[in-house]
Amino acid sequence: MTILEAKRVGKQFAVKDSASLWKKKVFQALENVDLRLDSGRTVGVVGESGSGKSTLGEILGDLQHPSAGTVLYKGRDVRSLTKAEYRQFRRNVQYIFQNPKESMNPYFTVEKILTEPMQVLLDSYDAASARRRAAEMLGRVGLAESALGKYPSELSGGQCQRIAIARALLLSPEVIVCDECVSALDVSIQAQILNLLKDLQREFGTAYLFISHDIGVIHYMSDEIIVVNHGHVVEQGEGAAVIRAPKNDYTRTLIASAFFTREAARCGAL
Amino acid sequence: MKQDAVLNIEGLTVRAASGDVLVRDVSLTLGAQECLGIAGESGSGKTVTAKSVLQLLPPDLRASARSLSVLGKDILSMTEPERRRFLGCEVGFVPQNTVAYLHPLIKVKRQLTDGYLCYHDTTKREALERAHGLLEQVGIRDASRVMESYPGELSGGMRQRVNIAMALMSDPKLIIADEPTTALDCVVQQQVVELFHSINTQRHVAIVMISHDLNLIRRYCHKVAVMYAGQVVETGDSQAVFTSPKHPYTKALLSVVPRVDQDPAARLSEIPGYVPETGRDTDECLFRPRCAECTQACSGAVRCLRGADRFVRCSKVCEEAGA
Repeated sequence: MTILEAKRVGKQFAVKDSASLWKKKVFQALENVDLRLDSGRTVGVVGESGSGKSTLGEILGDLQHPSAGTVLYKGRDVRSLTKAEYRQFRRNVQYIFQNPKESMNPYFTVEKILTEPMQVLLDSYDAASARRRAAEMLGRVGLAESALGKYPSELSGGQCQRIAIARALLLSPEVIVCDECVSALDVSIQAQILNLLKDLQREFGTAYLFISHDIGVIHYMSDEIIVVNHGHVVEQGEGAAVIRAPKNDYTRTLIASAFFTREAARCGAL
Repeated sequence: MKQDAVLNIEGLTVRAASGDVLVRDVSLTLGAQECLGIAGESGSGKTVTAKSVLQLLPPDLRASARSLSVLGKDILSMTEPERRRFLGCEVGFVPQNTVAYLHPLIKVKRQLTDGYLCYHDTTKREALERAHGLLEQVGIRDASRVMESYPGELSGGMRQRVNIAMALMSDPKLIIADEPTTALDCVVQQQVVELFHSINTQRHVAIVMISHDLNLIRRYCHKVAVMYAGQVVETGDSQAVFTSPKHPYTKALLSVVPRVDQDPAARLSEIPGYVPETGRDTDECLFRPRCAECTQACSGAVRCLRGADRFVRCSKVCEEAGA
């Protein structure tokens, strides 16, 4: 089932013009992007910093309004949803940010961090069962129940990222936007988190929009890959097809950067 | 100790004021014109090791070593002014963070020449000409404009080139680069690493490159040292280490990175647990709680295999080798 759909979305920002103190110029961060997120599938977005991939994630999560095009939630424009429907949208589209510590209130305990979204977004909420579910979910993401009483500053980056995942999953969302959610982690922790996300997808049928600059990670996670460069989609297709037979030069550069030998990397890249 | 060694570290240990050990018993050797990669996850002590060579550690950290020599000269026995002059002239440093390292309010030309003028008896004009020439050599096309710019007017890749030019000003024999490409995009990353490669092969400067990117080290470095929890666990020729890793951590590290030539349906292997942050002041194996291959032989003090061109800190590998 299609949950989220982007139709020709674009985003412009007004930025300072270097030639003048008060004039602004238009910066096109994203142009004409079409994509569809079906349940149980992962769409990977890859590109370097400044290519517009985070903007795309933010538009789909309705953290930013597109300046062109529309985002459809189950076939309806997100802007036309009623207040009650929008609350459902907020619950069903969750976000995992790059820096887990900055996405949590440092004065909240893990218990408060995990139960607060349930309190706000679920229709029936009772504190005891919410706490029980939070404890269960912590076990599911590989943390002990004792973590509930801790503050984010007492936990490592990998542990915080697990809590961010638990927080998103507790609302049983239909879509999770993962914006560079493993980039700040070490490779050994990265592997744990990626496997966890894959297991949970199999279990709950969640759709992921997986944003990363690492082509290897994108290849491992995605059913469909979108390559963005300077706000344009330069290549879009089935994961294996994009990796095995890239049609665009920029995609080839990204793939070459993942190779072992200097020669292979050079032929592809420069 | 090899006579032609550019850098020789023996038994380096760094302690924090609180008594915690950050780096323990690190020994590294780098020959002339070689390129050494130091690999490891965050918190493994890569940067602390590099900074203790340059005597750039924060004041609450104390480094001690059996021997620490650069270009055959023991820098521990030098007086402070001697050491500053010697390291300032002979060793270049390229940082990870291109923004924090350059002063935002001083023009590039002054930042490039300041250190050089400090240690060399020369004129400002000569220094400026030298800086201009070096900027061109590191691939900046409009060097005159960049000289007159403030760091904020340059892109990340350009700033890193300025840093590299600055490191080359005194014609060093050794450059220490701390994650020089981590903050850069993949295309710029490629260009900067190629630049390091040409500095290494054409100017014959030895390079220590710290990186968490194993592919990068595999591609460009002759030798590699893998660090874990403040210790060197394996060193050797980089092709040999990467094609036939001996230490279980090196093996694990190579297998957890998702690769484009792997089938994505196959499950990625994991290293369970976390890097220990305390309790590093021990002779026992620090990787043991996470190790998939540990045996009875692994309890007690860890033994090291010291081959001609391979060092492995693992009791099990020692046992198998019959040492």
